[in-house]
Amino acid sequence: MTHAGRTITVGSAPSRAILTAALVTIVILILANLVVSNVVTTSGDQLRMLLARKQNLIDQNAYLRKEITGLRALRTIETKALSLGFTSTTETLSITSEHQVAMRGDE
Amino acid sequence: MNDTRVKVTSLFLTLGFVLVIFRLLYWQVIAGEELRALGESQYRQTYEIHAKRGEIRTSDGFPLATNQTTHLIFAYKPNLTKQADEIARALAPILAPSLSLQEETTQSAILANSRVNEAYEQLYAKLSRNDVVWIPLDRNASADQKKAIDDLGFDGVGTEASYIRDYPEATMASRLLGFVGNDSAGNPQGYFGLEGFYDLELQGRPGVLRHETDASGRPILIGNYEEIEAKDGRDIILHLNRAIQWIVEKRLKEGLTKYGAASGDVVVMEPKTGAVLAMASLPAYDPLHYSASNQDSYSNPVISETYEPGSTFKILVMAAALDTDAVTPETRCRSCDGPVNIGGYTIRTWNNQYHPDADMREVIQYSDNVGMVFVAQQLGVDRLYEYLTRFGMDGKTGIDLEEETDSILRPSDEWKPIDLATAAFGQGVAITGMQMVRAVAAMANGGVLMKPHVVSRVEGVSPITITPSSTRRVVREETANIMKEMMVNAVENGEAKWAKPKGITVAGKTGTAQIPVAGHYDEEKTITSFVGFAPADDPKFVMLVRLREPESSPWGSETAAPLWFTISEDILEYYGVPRQ
Repeated sequence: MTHAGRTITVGSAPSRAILTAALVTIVILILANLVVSNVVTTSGDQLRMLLARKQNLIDQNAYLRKEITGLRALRTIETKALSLGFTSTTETLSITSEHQVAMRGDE
Repeated sequence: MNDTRVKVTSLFLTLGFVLVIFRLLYWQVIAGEELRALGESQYRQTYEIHAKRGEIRTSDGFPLATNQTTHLIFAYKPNLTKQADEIARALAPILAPSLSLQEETTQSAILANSRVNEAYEQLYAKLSRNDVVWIPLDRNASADQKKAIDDLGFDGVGTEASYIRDYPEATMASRLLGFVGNDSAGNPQGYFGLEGFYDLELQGRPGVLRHETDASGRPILIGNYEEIEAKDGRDIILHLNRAIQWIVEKRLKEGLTKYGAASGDVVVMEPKTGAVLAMASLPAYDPLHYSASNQDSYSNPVISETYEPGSTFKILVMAAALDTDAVTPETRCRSCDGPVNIGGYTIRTWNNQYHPDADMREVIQYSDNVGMVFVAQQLGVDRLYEYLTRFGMDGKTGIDLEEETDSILRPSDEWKPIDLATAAFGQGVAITGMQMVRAVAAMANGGVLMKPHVVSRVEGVSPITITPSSTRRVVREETANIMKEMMVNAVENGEAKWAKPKGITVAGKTGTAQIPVAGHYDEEKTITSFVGFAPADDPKFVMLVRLREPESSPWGSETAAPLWFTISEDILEYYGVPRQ
């Protein structure tokens, strides 16, 4: 372009390149955003499934713990012991460090 | 003409703009908050994350009180698309097992129908309410019930996971544990015992989860997501020994039947630390169904009920007299040859037999009321009062349980000679069982009074270990040893000697006290007790057995003492202490 015999340059080669690169980047980012959004947004079901599995494992853990606790309860052990024929102690024999009468002669 | 048209048009346009601006002002400013909230409720879901209540565990780590996952079934009326009748009919067969009050004892079809009808009526009544929008239908639904309700797919009927208390050992130590009910806002709250005392530590803090959802209610991953994590309650670990608690409850139950007592309590404590190893009161209640029991049974009588201790109190009076040198073990009673008259009241021995010139060991051995009056007179009101205060008879023991009674001694200047005389043999003073066992534990601990405690540590992010703490020295070590000898002698040669097992050295004292009723003592009803420790030379435990209104005999030596010995045999066997 000339004006009054002088040449005016509108936009040099480097600035055009920068502009072009920025536009391309923006387009790529928009496309990437669209792709990621589409992929991630539809993962709600997967997330819900994972949460359900997590809850299921927590529930199973709680159930098993309850079972174990129930088996360790003294009332359960007593019932089981009685059914197996165990009875209460009727006589307790204490063994002391003192030698038995029959062995004292050897000392 | 044209000018007029322009003006009119301008006027209408201006008015239109003003209307639009006012409307915008209304939507944006006046109703802005409400509309924002309404919008958020459509695309944002909020869940409360329930905090798990801390467990209460015995010293071996076994949970006496734990949590069970349960489900809350609720209806949100604005979202209901079906009629109350239709929903109630569909839900009743599913929720009948948890809603019906009728016991599931038989499988008959008639009973099953009756339970479903009962559930239907309850559900229909709830769903027909117009004063609320959110209605809890069942708070204790099982996982199967929840699934069945989810499968129905009713709009407006939802479920939410929650926790309820579970007690693997059923009613064990129930009056020590307390129970979990609801406060006025419907939130879980601990009442009585440990649940009440440690409620803040146990309850935790609920969390909140908010996230954006799509039109179908599915969470959006890149949407806003906020979570305030729930902080679970802290577990508390007790000194309570499960095996000893089991022994105590089993033997106490047998004892109540054998002696025909209305109720009974046993407390076992470690004398050197003040740690409570077992604490049982029968009859007990089921903490899971506490509302089905009488409210009088909720409190723990060992700490909440005062009683006149009777002859067990003689240990403290004699210890005070020995410690102040008012008497020595060899001092002879100068007034033990018959009943004594004080202020117009005649005081006799329990069996109306008298032992002239009995020394102090014999006074304790015979449980001689007249001899104890002599001891109290040598001691005097002021010194007795001072020692009773030292023994912790005036005020709470400070045990970590909720409903401890603050038993207070009358000021010493109000004591008359008859008050001093009756206090000498444990009548006219009211104390708790915990106060008595703690005071006797001081004798087993060389004269040092320990603070009793049930919890050994609180677990969590910053665990707390509760270390044993001595309150004060109450008597000299020498006095404690003399009292120990006197108590051993009382067991070996006293009224309860017939019940004492061979090979065990026990220091103890029987007690029989009449029950005050409307200004006088009941002629027949008594509270019998036995307090002591074993083995006497190296005490593993100190224990109080107390029976209320035994029918087989009114005497402690024939009821509480044999029960004490039976329990002590089991405990010593459990500890592996050999018999001599």
